[in-house]
Amino acid sequence: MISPMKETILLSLGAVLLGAPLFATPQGPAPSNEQKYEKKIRKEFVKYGNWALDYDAVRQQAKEEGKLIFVYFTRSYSP
Amino acid sequence: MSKIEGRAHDDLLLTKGYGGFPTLAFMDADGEVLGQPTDRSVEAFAACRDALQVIDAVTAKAEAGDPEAKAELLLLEHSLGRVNAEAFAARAETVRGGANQAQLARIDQALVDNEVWELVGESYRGDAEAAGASMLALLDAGKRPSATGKYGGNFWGILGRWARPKGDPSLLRRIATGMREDFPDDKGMLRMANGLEEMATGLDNRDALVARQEGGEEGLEAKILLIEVELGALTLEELRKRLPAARDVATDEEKQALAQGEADMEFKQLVDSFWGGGDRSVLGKRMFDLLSGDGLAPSENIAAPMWSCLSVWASGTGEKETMRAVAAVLRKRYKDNTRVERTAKSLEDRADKL
Repeated sequence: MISPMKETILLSLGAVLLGAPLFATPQGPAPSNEQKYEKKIRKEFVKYGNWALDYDAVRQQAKEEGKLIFVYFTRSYSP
Repeated sequence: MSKIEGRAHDDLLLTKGYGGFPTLAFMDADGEVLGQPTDRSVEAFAACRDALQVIDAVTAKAEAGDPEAKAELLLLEHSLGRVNAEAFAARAETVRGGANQAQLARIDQALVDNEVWELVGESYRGDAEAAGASMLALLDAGKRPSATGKYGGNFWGILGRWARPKGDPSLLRRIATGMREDFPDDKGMLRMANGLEEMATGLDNRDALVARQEGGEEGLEAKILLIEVELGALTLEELRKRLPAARDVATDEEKQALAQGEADMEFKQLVDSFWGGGDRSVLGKRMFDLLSGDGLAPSENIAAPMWSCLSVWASGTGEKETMRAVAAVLRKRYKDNTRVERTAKSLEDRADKL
């Protein structure tokens, strides 16, 4: 059931992974998945949209505040 | 999905039945997916959010037998991505009788959008020729998709790419006009429209030369061919068939331009096949052989993607001799080029580590 909620919590999940496109020229060791994740969540849009990153916490918040969750699944190479 | 070991809910995307990036969705507090915006625009986000706010009330009315609510419910479910094209078409027939005029127009538009989306998929799955022809048939029937990125954006982009090699100036102008009408503020779309119009102008120039040639004027074949090469309005095979006659009447400058055009088209074909699923071991070797020979190297706009192909191919062979040979031929062909030097150096570094 959907409650008549007017507000939405923004939740960004994901980031990272094998981001190097096939045509990239090899330039030393590839960054780890942890490094790619950290780089992605440091991007400006995460702060700008006040995105949350913890799925459990955001569901709890949605329950308490009567809001919907807007989820954004992304990766290191994806918009 | 971060693929970081131990990270909670890392497989959430898959458990919700999705697989691509980025994926956007609205969920409730229990994690149930309620709907997805039709594309990555503010308008689609707002439409999805607004639909979620009214859908319970509309559902209640529809269940109570209100005919307009039944039509509205179907449209809301469509905007939330909850109903596939086949189910939408079937249900549209059952609610049409009770729909108001505005709803009927929205239903018809959604049917066109669904049809376009199916053709977009067909185009990307490999049958771009058939998809482009079907899109033109839709246009001829007066059906145009919504001016959103998902529907109109894909439609006009695919149609424009499909129309270019047809060499028909009026078709190109018609598509450019449609792009401008539906996306007047979209810089990318306007750029595509400009490109189509420039091509139409070039084709007009070619047609004028062809008319003079048909009127008996001689010595025009090289000029005609050069226009077609520049516009990409012919295949490499067609070019090679017509080259001898053109060379016979070409000036030295035109001969040089024709030779460069032939080299560019050959490399472009190889690069396109390389990234388009062709046999990379064969295509990479062919590019390397061409570049190592006495023929012309491709122009700058083809050269950069060609360097990437060569780098990937050479690295993929795992042979340090090949990597070093590619580095050497790139340096020889493109002296004092920083990007080439970077590519050559990294190939050599990789070879040294083997």
